[in-house]
Amino acid sequence: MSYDVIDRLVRPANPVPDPRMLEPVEISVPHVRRRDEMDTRVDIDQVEETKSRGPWVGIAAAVVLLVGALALFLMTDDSDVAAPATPVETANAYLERYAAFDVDGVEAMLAENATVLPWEAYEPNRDWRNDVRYLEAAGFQLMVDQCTELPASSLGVRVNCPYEVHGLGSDQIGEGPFGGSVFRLVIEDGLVVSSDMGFDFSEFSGTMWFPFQSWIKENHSADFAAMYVHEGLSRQTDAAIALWKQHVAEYVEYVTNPPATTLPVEGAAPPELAGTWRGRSETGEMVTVGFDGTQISVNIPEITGFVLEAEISDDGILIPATPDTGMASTPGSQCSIDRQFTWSVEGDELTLTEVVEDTCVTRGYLAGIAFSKLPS
Amino acid sequence: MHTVSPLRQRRFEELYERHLLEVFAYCVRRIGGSEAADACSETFLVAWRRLDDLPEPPETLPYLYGIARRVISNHARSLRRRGRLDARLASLGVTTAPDPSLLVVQRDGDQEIVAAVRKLKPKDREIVMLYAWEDLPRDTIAEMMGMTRSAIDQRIHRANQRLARILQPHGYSTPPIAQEGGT
Repeated sequence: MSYDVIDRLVRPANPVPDPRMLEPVEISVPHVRRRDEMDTRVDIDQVEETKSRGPWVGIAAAVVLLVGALALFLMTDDSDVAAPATPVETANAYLERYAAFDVDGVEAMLAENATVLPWEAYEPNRDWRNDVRYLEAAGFQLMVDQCTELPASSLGVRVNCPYEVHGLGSDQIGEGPFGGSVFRLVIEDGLVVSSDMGFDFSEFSGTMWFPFQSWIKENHSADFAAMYVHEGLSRQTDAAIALWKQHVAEYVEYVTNPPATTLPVEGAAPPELAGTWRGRSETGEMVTVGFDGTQISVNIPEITGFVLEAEISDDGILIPATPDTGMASTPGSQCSIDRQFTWSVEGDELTLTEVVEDTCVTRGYLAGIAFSKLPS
Repeated sequence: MHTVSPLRQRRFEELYERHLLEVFAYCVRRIGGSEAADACSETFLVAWRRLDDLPEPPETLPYLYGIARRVISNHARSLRRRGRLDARLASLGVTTAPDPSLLVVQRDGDQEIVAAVRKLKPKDREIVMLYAWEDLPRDTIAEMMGMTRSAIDQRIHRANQRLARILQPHGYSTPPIAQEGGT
């Protein structure tokens, strides 16, 4: 079959009709040598001399540079060669950039038309670049474990990389890290063609996401709409990301240094109680109790305004200065409660036990929480 | 650092020695000199990684072309990004170097033909280039592109007609397309 236009016009217009034209200077396979023995320079004099040969000189120089680049790549001694990245090494390099929130670095390792599913991947049309910026602003840390190469698929080599995360300042307030997440990557030709962050929300949601959200609602309600699309989804505009960064830092400060409440006390706290204690209530909120001399502070970030004003009696009973009426505050309730707490310390664990005067509520909020002492 | 057997090393060197210029020429034909050097380098890096998968001759070179094609495809995005940078620099009065691909077309008029080839659909363009410039048999092109031989024939035929239409207004005389069928 004849293709006249192609055969008569296109074929002779071949920009490089003979590849040997690309060889006006000597080209040789780089011998594998020590770096200090390698000569990767372009011989300037030789290039100058050959300039009159036409436009191929530039390409020839490129070839020499190419030889040098490959020689550098093969830099080694006689027995040791720097091998290029395996799929697992590519995955590690990619995730190193991801964990450093290096958007450009991540992008440089993506194949054209690569698929990238960010952490809130269940929501369509999320831009992974904004997602990476968000993760950095919201205090996330990605700690990648050992990557494993799976049997190859038709798309490329699959590599799974389990990882743990800290987020929303969890590392600073003594929570996490949260495991169960797996980066699922597909690698081909040293590039990532598919990246799925595979975030496991199960433990993180109850421990960090919703407590932080409750705190935002209570303390920065005007910012809620700017920071969230809805309760389960962050907003990732520049303005939103700035708010996330600001409020996560404030939340950490609030939880780790709760505002102290000065209470009238009859006696100083026993030495065993001195310090700061933290525990989690049955309903999941984090509670911090501080005993400092004659001061007691109770901090529950998710329940703003909760204050236990207490005195310590001579016999060591914590007696709320303002009666905590509990269920008795419910309209129509006939209950009345005047809660008091006894306490016990075993090692670094504090337990508050409620002394109940009324049976309407058998246990108060603080009762039964196992508080652990924070390092001073 | 990994220890590499001398045998493997030698095999790569032979591959490199035998096919460097052809692969480099393939890249130059598509993206020009300076970018072609990078693309060619990357092609051989990929070949090194896949050394154990490389087919024996005569399939080796088409296989390397296939790698280069993919590498160039990836390069295209960074080139587009660079294009945006060039535009930004131009707006600031800074000029950048001319596209080296313009330098390698030597004969007057060839640029029009090359430009016409570049107007083809990407897959048709690649097939035409493999056929006319890499001078590959159509069976090999079919294997490379994952298509049947008849599909390749059809694509070349269609590209031939399209090129005729593009080039005729530029004064290139082409035989009547009816001749394609043979008489």
